[in-house]
Amino acid sequence: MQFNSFIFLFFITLVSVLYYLVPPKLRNYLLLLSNYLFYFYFDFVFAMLLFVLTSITYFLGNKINDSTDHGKKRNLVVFAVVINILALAFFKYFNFFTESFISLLNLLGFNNNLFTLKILLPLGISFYIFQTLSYILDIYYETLEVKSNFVEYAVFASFFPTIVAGPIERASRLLPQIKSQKEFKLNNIKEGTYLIIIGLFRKVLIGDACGKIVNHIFADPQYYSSIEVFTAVILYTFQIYNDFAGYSSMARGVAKLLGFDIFINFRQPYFATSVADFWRRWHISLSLWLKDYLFVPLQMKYRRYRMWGNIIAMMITFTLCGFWHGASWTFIFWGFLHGFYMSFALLSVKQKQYFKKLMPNKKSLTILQAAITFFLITFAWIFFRAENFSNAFLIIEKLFEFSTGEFAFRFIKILFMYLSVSFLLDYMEYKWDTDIILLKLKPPVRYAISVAILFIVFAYLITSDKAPFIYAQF
Amino acid sequence: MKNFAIFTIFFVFTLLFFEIYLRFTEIILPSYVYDNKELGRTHKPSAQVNLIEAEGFYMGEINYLGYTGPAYPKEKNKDAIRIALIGDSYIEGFQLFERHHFRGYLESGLSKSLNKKIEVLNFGIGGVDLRGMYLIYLKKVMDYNPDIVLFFVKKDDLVNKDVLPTPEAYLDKGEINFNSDFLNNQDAKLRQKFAFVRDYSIGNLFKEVFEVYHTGLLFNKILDKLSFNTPLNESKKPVDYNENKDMFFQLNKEILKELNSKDNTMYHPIIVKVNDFPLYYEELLDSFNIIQFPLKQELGKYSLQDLTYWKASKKLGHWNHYAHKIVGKYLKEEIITFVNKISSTD
Amino acid sequence: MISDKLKSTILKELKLDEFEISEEMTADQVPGWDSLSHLNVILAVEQDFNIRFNSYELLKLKNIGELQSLINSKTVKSSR
Repeated sequence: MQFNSFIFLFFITLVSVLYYLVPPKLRNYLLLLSNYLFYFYFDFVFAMLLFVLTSITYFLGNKINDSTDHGKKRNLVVFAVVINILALAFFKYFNFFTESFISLLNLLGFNNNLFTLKILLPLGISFYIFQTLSYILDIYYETLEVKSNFVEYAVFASFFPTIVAGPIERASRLLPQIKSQKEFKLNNIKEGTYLIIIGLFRKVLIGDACGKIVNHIFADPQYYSSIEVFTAVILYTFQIYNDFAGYSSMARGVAKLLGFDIFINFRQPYFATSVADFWRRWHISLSLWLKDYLFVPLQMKYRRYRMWGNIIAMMITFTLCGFWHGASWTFIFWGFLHGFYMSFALLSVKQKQYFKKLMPNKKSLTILQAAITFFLITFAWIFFRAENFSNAFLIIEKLFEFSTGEFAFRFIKILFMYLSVSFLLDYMEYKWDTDIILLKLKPPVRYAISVAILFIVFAYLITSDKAPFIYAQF
Repeated sequence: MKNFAIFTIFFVFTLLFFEIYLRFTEIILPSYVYDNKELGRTHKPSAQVNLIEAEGFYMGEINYLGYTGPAYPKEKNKDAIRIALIGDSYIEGFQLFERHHFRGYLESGLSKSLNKKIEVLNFGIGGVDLRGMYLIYLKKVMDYNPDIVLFFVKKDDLVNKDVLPTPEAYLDKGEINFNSDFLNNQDAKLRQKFAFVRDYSIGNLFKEVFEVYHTGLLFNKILDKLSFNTPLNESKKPVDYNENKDMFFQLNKEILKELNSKDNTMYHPIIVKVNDFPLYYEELLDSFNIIQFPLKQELGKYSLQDLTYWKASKKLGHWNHYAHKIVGKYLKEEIITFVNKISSTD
Repeated sequence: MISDKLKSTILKELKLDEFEISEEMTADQVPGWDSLSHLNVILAVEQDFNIRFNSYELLKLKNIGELQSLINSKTVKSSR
């Protein structure tokens, strides 16, 4: 069930109520049941896959923890990682690999009809595999001190608020919470509810709404003028942000209702003053995961190359980040582009210092940095969104046509409105240093605003076809 | 008490914010149609339109005179050839921008070939059938003194579409009459009473919610049974070709007879046959002298996929960009032939 | 106990004049020691102490105290 659907809202209400009625000892069992019920609704068959992978990982995790011989530990961890990666690779990348292989063969002159299977993508597989991998690796690197029983681990591995699209939680953060007694705290209900409301607003009224325009223009850029394509490109930047941030807020809110505290996944990403800064603000749980389990190990491995070791580690990490997002060359290129941005920044520290001195004051420097960063990120998003390279190049070509149409004013007006509201929300989060901005207002005020938001969101949901959540296809 | 007042103030204030937000982002605009006393559901002059439906993306407006496309005034330019288009949602074409509508291709194509000023006026509106088209012809189109009037008739326009509040056409002693009582029934009265609601974005939004409720789909929507691929209008009543078959045949026969008689005067009504008609209608048309453009033959050269596939939404629907180009080209050729034939007989 | 030699290696690499380093301290608590300079610090330690770490040992380190213990275990070995 989609987060932005009535049946889901009904589901969480039911689960939350039952959760606090049931005696504390049984809460994890209720949670486990709810997790699988949630997953069953989406994906009956793949609930089995989830269970199988969960069991294997738990079993191996215990073995790694118990074994004293380093060589044996290492073999076990490699085995566990490989199984998980293979599962991910098969379901997600099988067709990509066979199609790319066929293209390569065709290029070399062989004509081949290798079969591609009609493989369905299990929901949230990229997310839950990363989450369980972090468990295995934390045991291996002895970061995880907590020992948990199978039920507790299974709850962690299938945690319904985050299984569809993250945030990717760490065992060391989530397992202790699963083990602890969670008493009913009214504050949790408050915070959870307001997080869900803001999340719904962002996802439905900003993300989904502007996404409609983006979809049509990206599908057929040739029919639109430069201003219109430009609007679509910028709107996409805000669509993906609000869609994903809205979802993450909802996930955080739902978890809060049940007494869990989940990672904040976004911190005003477009306020970033560098691409590196952007990655500290965007999909934070993923970038931390990539840093801890991919970048740092690679970096250590290549440390003898010093600066170039950093660069190699950077390029590999980001390219794989792109690949994680989807089985296509445009995603890989998007990741590669970010790796390139980061590497370039590393190599040009001196030049940057020189230019910084040229700026008149700190404020104008910050604004310039934010603008350049925004441009770089937006440019990369074009490849992320386009269905293939020719689509991406067509979009870019259209942008540089500098043609206008009869709707220039209307499109700019639309763009301005979406941007302003998104920016307003971000600014309030920044100013009040919280993502639960509604809580900063006095009770009657925040009740009024919440009710009004819910009215409009529900009316919109009833009257429009539901837009699928972008990141769920990962 | 004070808290209640604060609550109300901020609630209204937030709704006001949303009214502005919905309008500026064009997520939902005030309604672009209204119930006219004579015509029933009609385009509202000067209304802005933004439709991102399941098929395509339309952004545009109704001109100040109440039809789509550039606004040509009632007074006709003496040197110009004026062509009026009447039809349903295929002719209204609210799935793509005006710049890609066949109206534009027809106009520019003709003016190049005939080296004359051409004015093409689009009176198409979704949901009409032949009776509705005839009403529009009488009450609206004739005021604009067109030289040629194209009636785009599809098979389902020959029967009762019954979707909108429109005056009922009926035969009285062989004469076509329109029953203006349509505004007096329960439903219509309710619509009239709350017509002002649709002038606001929020109002229009809630009117649509009400419509979902009215069609009995509210529960389904809430239970998520309507997935991404089920558009709302699939729930509407399917066209029944046998319902009151005789009555409609008589009515349509009268309408065609009327159009036939006008052939000798200034307006040249032309029936554009969009798809296959039942045999008895074909025979009827052939018995009159009315000019027919068999568009269906041209369209038949292409697959349904070519003509009605929408990439963004991955579904088949109304004429797409490619179809409009083809229709425009076809009409241009036919009209050139027709104009030449007329001038040679003058 | 963080040895003076380790302390001076770290400070020299990070170009810090004076900074108190304790056993429980983690890398990010030392000014300038981020994920990018991390590898330079490790290399400097390897060079100054004439030892080699393997990746697993490095990735297990939780704080500077553990780094000191790791160095101790390697230098004890090599001095045999």
